[in-house]
Amino acid sequence: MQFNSIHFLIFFPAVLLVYFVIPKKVRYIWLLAASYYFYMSWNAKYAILIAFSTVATYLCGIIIEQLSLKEDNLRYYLKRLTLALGIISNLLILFMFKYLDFTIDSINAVLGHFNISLIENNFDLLLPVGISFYTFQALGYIIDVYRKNVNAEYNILKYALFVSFFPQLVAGPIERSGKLMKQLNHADEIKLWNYERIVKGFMIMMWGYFMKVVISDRAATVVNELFTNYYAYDSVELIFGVTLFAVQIYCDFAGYSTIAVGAAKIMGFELMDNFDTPYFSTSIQEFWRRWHISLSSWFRDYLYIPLGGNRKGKIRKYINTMIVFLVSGLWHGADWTYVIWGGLHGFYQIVGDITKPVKEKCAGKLKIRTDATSYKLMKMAVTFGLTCFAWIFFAADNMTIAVEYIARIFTRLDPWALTDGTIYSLGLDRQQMNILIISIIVLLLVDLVKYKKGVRMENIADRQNSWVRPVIILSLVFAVIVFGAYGAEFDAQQFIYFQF
Amino acid sequence: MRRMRKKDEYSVELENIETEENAGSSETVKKSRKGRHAFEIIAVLLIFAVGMFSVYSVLSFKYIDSVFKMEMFYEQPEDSVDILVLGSSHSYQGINTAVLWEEYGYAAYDLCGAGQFIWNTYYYLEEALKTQSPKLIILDAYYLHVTDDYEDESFAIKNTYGMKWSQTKVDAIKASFDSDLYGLQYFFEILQYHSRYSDVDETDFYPYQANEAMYENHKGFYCYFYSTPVEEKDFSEVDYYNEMTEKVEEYYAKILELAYSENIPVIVVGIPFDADNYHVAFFRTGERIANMFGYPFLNFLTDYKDELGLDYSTDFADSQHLNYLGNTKLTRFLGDYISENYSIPDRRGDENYSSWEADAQIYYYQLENKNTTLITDISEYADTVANNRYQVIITKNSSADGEQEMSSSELSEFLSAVGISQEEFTNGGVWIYSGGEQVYHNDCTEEDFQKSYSLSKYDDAMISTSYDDEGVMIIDVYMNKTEVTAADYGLNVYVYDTLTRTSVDSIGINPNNFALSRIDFYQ
Repeated sequence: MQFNSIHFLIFFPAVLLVYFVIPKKVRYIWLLAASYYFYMSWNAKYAILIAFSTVATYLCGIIIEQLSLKEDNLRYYLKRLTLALGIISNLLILFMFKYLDFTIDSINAVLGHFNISLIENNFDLLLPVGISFYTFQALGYIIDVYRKNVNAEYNILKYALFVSFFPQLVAGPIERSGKLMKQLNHADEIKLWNYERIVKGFMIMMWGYFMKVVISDRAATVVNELFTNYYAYDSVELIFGVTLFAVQIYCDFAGYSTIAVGAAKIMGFELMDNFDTPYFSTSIQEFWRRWHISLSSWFRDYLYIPLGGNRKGKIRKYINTMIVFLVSGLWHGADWTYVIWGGLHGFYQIVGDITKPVKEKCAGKLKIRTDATSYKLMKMAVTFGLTCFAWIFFAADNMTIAVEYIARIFTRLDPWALTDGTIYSLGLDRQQMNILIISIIVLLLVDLVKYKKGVRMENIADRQNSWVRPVIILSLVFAVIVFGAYGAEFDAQQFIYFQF
Repeated sequence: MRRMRKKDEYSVELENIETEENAGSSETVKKSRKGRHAFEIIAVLLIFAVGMFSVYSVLSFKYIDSVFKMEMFYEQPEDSVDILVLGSSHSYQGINTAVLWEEYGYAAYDLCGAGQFIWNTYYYLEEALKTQSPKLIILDAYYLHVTDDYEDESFAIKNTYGMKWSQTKVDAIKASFDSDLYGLQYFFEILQYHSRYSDVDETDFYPYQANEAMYENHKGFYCYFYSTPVEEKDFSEVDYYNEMTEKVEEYYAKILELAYSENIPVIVVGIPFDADNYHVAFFRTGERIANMFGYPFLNFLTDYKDELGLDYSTDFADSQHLNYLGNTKLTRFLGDYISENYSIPDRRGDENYSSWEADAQIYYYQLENKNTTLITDISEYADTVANNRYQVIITKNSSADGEQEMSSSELSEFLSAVGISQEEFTNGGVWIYSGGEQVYHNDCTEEDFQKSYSLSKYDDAMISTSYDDEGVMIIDVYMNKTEVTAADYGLNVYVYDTLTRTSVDSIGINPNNFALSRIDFYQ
């Protein structure tokens, strides 16, 4: 069930109701049952996968910890072997379900060039939702145990809840064992009836819904039109389309994470902030500190640093960066478009790093004030432009579309489309487009407050008169109910990130 | 760094506030905080409830061809409906409740819906029997021919969302929507109507379709007053039976069974439309089943042709529906048939049935409007100007060459009847009549003449002058921004009905040849 489904609208209050009244000691069991029900509502067979992943990493964790009790060579190697097995078994599941088709197709494409008969693809596996998220979370856990950052969990039910906790199960944030497991372990100590926390949790959820159903799903109509019929549109519309995609994917993914954070908060759990106003970044590097934070920090801690990070010289650093971003691209989807998208981000960072001295020199010679707001704004604009350019590969169904899309942006110039009302004819009528524009302005303001003042959405009304918060909550609720793109007029858009 | 510091300061400050609150956490402080929270929750829930109700009132569906009929049905006094008409648009446009009342004294209600599949008809019957005990049911057989097990979403909405919540409605929704995921989404009507904010209009803000006078006594019947010729076909060769789908047959039988168990006689009718052989074959199957219950099936596609006397060239509004001429013929046939075979009380004169009288009146007013548009002799038009429901705007221009003089015996008769002197008329200008009385006159000679005039609460007229290429002045009349003058030169008469809130007629008399031109508001 998706967060924006009727099913969830019934499921969540029902889970809450029971959660708030049952004995403290069994809370985690109830949440585990709810999480499995939540996951199995997509497909009951998925439970086998997540259970397998859970049991495998659970055993690995215990074995690794037991082997760590005494230090000797044999134990050391066994420990490493266990870790390797744990990682490989999880990656294998991921590979089987996510990358097998892609690998076979790619090999076939290469073989085809040499007129070699192709491998028959007999597998028709449906990508289980959220598989990339929970396998990564479980992998993070065994690596943490190996590094002795956390203790192994011996209660398999508690561990299973850590892997399957329903708010963040299918689209993150990818939580660290150190943080989430500790909270789940102490679920019985949570003081449930905390007014402030519940209200704020609800407010966060509503903000997430606003991002998802008012902005993202509405923007999707235009984005889908432009990326499907790109050949019928010219430069301005296509640039508009990819800009709107930047908004759509942000609101989709951050919206989902925000709902997850809010839902968990109502139950007394603090999940990490997954997005921190990413489009205000002044460099690609900063963008990745603000975008999908739980994933980028995962890659940093469990891939980039083990590869040597930036400790082994410039060249190795660049290679490591490139590896991380290519893998990240592949993590987002089993297609070359995602690899290119990841690669572009790696490339941006390497070029940025190489040209940094040159840029600084130029700025010094031209006496450009690098601390001025105007300079910062320019950097933001450039970063946003580069991000959008990469999004084209992310949004396009295949490489041909991406390339054609870009080619048309540069060859079919139509500046008059800026003023002749064309943007009102891209799948949304004038009224719908105006609603979209106004909601994006609201989003921008909320993000601006967060960026400038460090005040998160749920705290906006903390220092205002007491009627402000209810007004904000009610406005959000009615905006979602009336202006949400759901029901008869709109097909419910799946959260884009589910397939990753 | 600067940003981080700000963040820290903020959270420290917040913590301070919280500690301060905790520090003073004596019993009284705790209590007052709890009280404030309770107040906040109650206030928010209250505003939420009011907000949701407003959203519902404004955005919910008010389709006049379906939802509204069910809503109005609930307003009928208990056990007042003697004849219950069930079915699709064929029946609510084919069976004229006004004629049944006026000519027979029968209190009938067309509890029908556009595109109503037979299972919806069954649940409508179930719903109707909760408050009414009809003495006769007339059942429209049109939808016996469908082969789909679920109708279009829009028709399903139209034929379920008007019902009040009960097990009947739940069953109706389950039967109508081809649903996924327990069909849950169809039980949350707001999912279907929340995005109607793009097309709300006055009917969403005022009751009775924003026309209380016309619809507060509505009996489900809806009439078209225009004609489209339809080909009359011979179905005498259809001697076979088409098998209904399992679901259609099940519900058709359920309707008959329910009526049978309640001791209510049923007449099943095949109302004429531009049918094909297969429709007739379905009607034949329907007849066979109806007869098993001892109920008659009147198939007007094949039988009673002479008695009905339907003229296919004039009696249809479109290929599917009878118009005012056709439904009057069909209703008279049925009225006679009912009076011969059943004993349905004549309720005329009964005070409890005044709403039927009022609703019938509306129909006859509409008929009068229609008949106005058939007048071709200007001298006969004086009665129209005198009608107290009408707002009439008369304008007189010169001819194309600027000639003012315009007279004929018919015209003189008309002018004297409406109280305009020949001299006034020759000078030209505008005359407005309301309820038969002249309420305004202006010769329009001032430069840039403009006059706005309120026709009713919702509609406005604007009278202004313009000049043709030769510099001859023309007086134009607009109704809500649409021009309603029939002729550029000469005499124009525009008629607006305050009751139905529609333009009734607009005629123009050419000053040179006295030819009559007309805007047809009925097409």
